[in-house]
Amino acid sequence: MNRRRITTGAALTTWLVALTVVFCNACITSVDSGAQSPLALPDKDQFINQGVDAFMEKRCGALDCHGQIGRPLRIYSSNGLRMKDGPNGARDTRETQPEEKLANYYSVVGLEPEQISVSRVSEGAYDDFLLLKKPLSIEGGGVRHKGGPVLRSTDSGFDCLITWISGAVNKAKCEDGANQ
Amino acid sequence: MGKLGERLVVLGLAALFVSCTDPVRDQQIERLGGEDPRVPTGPEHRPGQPCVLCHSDGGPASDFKFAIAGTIFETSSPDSNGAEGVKVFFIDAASAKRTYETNAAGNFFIPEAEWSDLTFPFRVGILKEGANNNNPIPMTSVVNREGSCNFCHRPNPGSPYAIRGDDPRSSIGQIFVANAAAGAKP
Repeated sequence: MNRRRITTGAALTTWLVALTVVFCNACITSVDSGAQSPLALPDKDQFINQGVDAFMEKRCGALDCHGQIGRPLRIYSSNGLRMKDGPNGARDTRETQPEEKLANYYSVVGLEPEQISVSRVSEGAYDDFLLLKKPLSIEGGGVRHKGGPVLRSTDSGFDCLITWISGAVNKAKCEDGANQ
Repeated sequence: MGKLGERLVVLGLAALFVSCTDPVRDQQIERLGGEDPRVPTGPEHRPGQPCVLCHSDGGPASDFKFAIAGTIFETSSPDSNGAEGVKVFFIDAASAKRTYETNAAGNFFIPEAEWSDLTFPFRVGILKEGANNNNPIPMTSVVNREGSCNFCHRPNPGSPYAIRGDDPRSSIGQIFVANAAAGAKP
């Protein structure tokens, strides 16, 4: 009887030690991997003030596309989804507000933060990066997009995204892309 | 297979069909509320509401599917009447063109059978006789994927046609023509 109790106690202790070791290893690995992989996100100021946000608002942020609650890659804009109501519960009719542009930035870089970081380091080169793949037709190197193909890789809008990701946004391309 | 087995198969199939309905659309349709008893179900019913929601595959009005449909009001006021006789011009991504006209309720609709090869995105312009020097006023953006104009242009808050629980952040407001002559964007 005593021997059985000792055996059971020893087994429990062994399991507890093993579980603790596994738990601690998991924590250490998690902390380490985060510390070793800082994300190199594209520039926020270029996005907001150099035409990328305006391009995204115009070409992606319509109310029947990404300017819709419930859709991924949410984009706010003065002509689409607003962040806040206007006076007395009416629609906010002001220009797109700074906090909306900031939310758009985080929405875009948050789509695939690791991949956008890789694309940035490779100066726009991409393998399977949704921000650059989704707008293209499948024949043109893209992937399935519920809204269909909306850009070609030769379009100004595509250059706008590529140049922003690679660190030197081409504002003229963004403006041209927004108006196409 | 015994009777119990047959019943289970029938129940399984029934469950399968029930699960094929779209709960999101069902909820959106429920929010539209019931019919206005003063208006018979037909071309003039439910002005301001997103027509294609019901008039499409799987919808309760799927026997009369629409490619595009919407409502144009006289003014931006919540109590505005629909604008009759407004010409609505369309050109799609394949350069196909159509022109339709609003009825007494301000509604217009293009049956899917009349534009089955509609290619998104498409552009829209409207023309009210005598307004804007008789030049059509173009919509400033394209329509990317939604056939219901009223999906984005919902009746303004306070309108008797406003949708229950509507979120003004998600609507650009009702389409109207009153200020068209002054150059305002419809």
